[in-house]
Amino acid sequence: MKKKMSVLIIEDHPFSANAYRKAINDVAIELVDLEFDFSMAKDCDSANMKIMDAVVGNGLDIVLLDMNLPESKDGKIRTGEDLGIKIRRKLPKAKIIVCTTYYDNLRIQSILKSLDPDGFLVKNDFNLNELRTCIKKVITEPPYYSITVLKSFRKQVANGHKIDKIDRMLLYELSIGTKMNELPNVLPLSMTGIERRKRHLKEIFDLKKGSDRELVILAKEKGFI
Amino acid sequence: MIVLKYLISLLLVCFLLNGIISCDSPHEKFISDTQTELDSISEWIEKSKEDSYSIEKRKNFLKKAFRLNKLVKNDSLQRDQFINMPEAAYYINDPIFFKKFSDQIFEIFKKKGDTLGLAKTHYHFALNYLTLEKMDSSYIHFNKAKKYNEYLKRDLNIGHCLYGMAYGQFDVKDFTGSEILTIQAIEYYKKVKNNAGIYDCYNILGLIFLELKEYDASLEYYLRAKEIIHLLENSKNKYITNYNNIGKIYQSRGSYKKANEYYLKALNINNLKEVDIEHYARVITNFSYNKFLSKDTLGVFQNYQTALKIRDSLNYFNGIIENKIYLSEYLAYKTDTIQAIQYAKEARNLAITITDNDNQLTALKLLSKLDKKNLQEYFNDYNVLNDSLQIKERKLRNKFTRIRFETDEYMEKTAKLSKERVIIVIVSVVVVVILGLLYYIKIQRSKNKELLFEKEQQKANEEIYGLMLKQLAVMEEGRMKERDRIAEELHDGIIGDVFGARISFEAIEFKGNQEDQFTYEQLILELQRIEKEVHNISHELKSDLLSSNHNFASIISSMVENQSFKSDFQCKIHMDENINWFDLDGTIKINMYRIIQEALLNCHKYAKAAQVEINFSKKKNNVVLVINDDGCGFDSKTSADGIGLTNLKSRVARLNGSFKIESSATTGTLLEIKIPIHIE
Repeated sequence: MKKKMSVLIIEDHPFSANAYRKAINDVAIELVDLEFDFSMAKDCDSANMKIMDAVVGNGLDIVLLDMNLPESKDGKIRTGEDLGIKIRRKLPKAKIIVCTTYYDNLRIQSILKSLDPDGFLVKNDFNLNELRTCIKKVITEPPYYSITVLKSFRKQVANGHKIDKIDRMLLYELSIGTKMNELPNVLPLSMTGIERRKRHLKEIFDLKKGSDRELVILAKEKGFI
Repeated sequence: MIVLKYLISLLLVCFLLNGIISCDSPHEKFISDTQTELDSISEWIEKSKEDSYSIEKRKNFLKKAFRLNKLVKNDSLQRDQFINMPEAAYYINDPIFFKKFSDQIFEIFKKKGDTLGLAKTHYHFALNYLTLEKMDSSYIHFNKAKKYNEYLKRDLNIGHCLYGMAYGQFDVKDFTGSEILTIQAIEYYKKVKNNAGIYDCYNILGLIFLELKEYDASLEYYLRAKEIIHLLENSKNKYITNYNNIGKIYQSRGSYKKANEYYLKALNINNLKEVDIEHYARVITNFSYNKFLSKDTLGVFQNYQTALKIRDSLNYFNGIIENKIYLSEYLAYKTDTIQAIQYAKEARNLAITITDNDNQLTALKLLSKLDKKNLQEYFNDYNVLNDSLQIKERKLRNKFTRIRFETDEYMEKTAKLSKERVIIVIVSVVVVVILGLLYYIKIQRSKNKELLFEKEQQKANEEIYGLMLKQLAVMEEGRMKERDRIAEELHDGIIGDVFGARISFEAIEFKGNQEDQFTYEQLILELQRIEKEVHNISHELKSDLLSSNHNFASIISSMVENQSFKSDFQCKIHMDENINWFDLDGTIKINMYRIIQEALLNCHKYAKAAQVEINFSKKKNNVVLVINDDGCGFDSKTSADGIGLTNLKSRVARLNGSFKIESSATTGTLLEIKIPIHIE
């Protein structure tokens, strides 16, 4: 008897969703004893419903999760990440394959940390073949990370020991142009704390007199953002 | 009459001395362009005083001086010369000429109300009338001169006037009145320590008391006069007079021996005859008369004859009359009646011609005694003359009193008038001051209004700048947001779509020849490349968001660029990234903007700088703006603050900032402004 696996594809783009489905089916064809049961969600609300269904039903084996989704109507679930957290909590056995257009290190790191995905694909990296490989890998021996994610890992490992999450957030906020007086609202830091961290970061990057701009540029180069 | 002549010469000497003293001051006022002209005028005046010229010539000199002086433009200089003229005219010793000449000057002074000129002119008028023996006119002028001098507080001249008036009173035999005036004169002379004046006063007092037959008092005054003779000039002559006077007192008292002693004292003075022949004649006359009175007739006749000869040669008529009377008396005593009558008659006739009334009376008295035949006639003549004289004297006395009274009244009137004038002046000054104040207040008020208006305008300007900056910031923000949105849209929308399309293409099992297969795969790769490119574009757009922090900086740099383009200097801006311009108070930014603008204008206009550096930094809670140029600088200590610097200061002060400027020709100008930040 063929093993049956339920797959939830959460993807707002119908072309992509169909393509994923096809790729996964290809895997089923390849691994003869497998059979996939697909369900699809286009936005956070429907995804949430599907998840809740699965929780009370038979659960989920694989979730293909896009990060960038139309947010729920009540505004509680805003991204794929939120959904992922929920899945992790409600369906701990489900294997999550994150499929995102996000490119920047911070987001990648953040997702890695919050979801600990079994597969992590940056959309630009991959094609259907890779998706197939990924699914196979996830079923047999997770995880599978695409090249961008791996690069991010590498950078992280190279000089991550000195820079914590808050530093990273600070750098990120600086990079997106958040106003200095808004920073204390965004970050769990006081104004002086922010200043101190900035000074500290500049020391790490050996930027004695550099501006915030240079700091951000350098941090980007080094892969912290 | 002897006394009169003496008196006039004395008064004149006093006045001349005074004139010389008062002459000194005008010299200082001379102005160079009229110097020679004025010099020539005073030269003419001086020339007119010189005896060596004939009287006619002297008159012409003075007239010339007068004509020239009339042309002088400068009032005060002209007046200085006029003031000296009455004196010079008097000096010529022609009363009629003097009157005519001085009247013109008097009119000028009267017109101008020159009190000093009037005082001097009146004084010389009085002296002139004294020579003419018009005692009443003289008295009037002395009195007027005195009042003017009192007004001018010229004590010495008041003394002179009082002395002249005392003499007038004495002449009409108002001895008490004369005494009072003399004593007043002494007070003034003592005030100015004028010994000559005091001496003269003592002499006249001696005469007064002699006439009043108070010999002790008279003697007392003569002795006092003697005490101060040694302090005076020409003391030899004065000793002679003094001894003679004292001798006369003793003689009048009947102390002939004592009198003789004094007359001898006078005669024993060395070279008396050579020193003063007139006095010599007088003293020997008195000496002989005293001898005659003490019934010692030895050498008396000869002495009378000698004196008569001397006096005849001097044309001293009063003396001649005196000698003739004495001779007549002597001859009568010697019972040579015919000759005695002859001398008495001669004396009387001479007295009539020169209107010497006192001596005429004496002669008549003598004649009535000698000429028994014509006794009645002489007696009648004597009485008529005596009465008429007494009436005349009384009239004059009354006139003097009236003059004093009238002038007092006149002075009171003028005092009242001057009081009124003072009031008018005060009132007009007050009015002018009030009007001035009102005008000043009005000007001040309009100035204030102007200032207020300027301030408002400045405020409005700043508001405009503020709005401009805000507008720019808002625009910038909007631009950023839009860019952000585009970036997001590109990233989330387009990339997703392209990715979807690509992946879908891949999902389609493409079956074709090898070439097509290749193209298919290439197209898929192309799509992937497009994704990447869109991603990059979106990423770049987002990265630029960082520059939103720099909008103030960009405004400043565009202004600086503009400014340095207009002028010929290079400008570098360095900005501390720690300054978050967006959060900074708008007014700080506006003022910074304006300060930089002003400073750059100065760099261009005055400093002629080639390099300007603008540096923004953050120190603690302050924004520090340093503008440094390499221009020629200015002296920051001495040069008065220009409007630019004042504006700068007031701007900084408004922001509670501090301000420092260092400037020198070698290092250029360094402007440091520190402004505290308050983050809202």
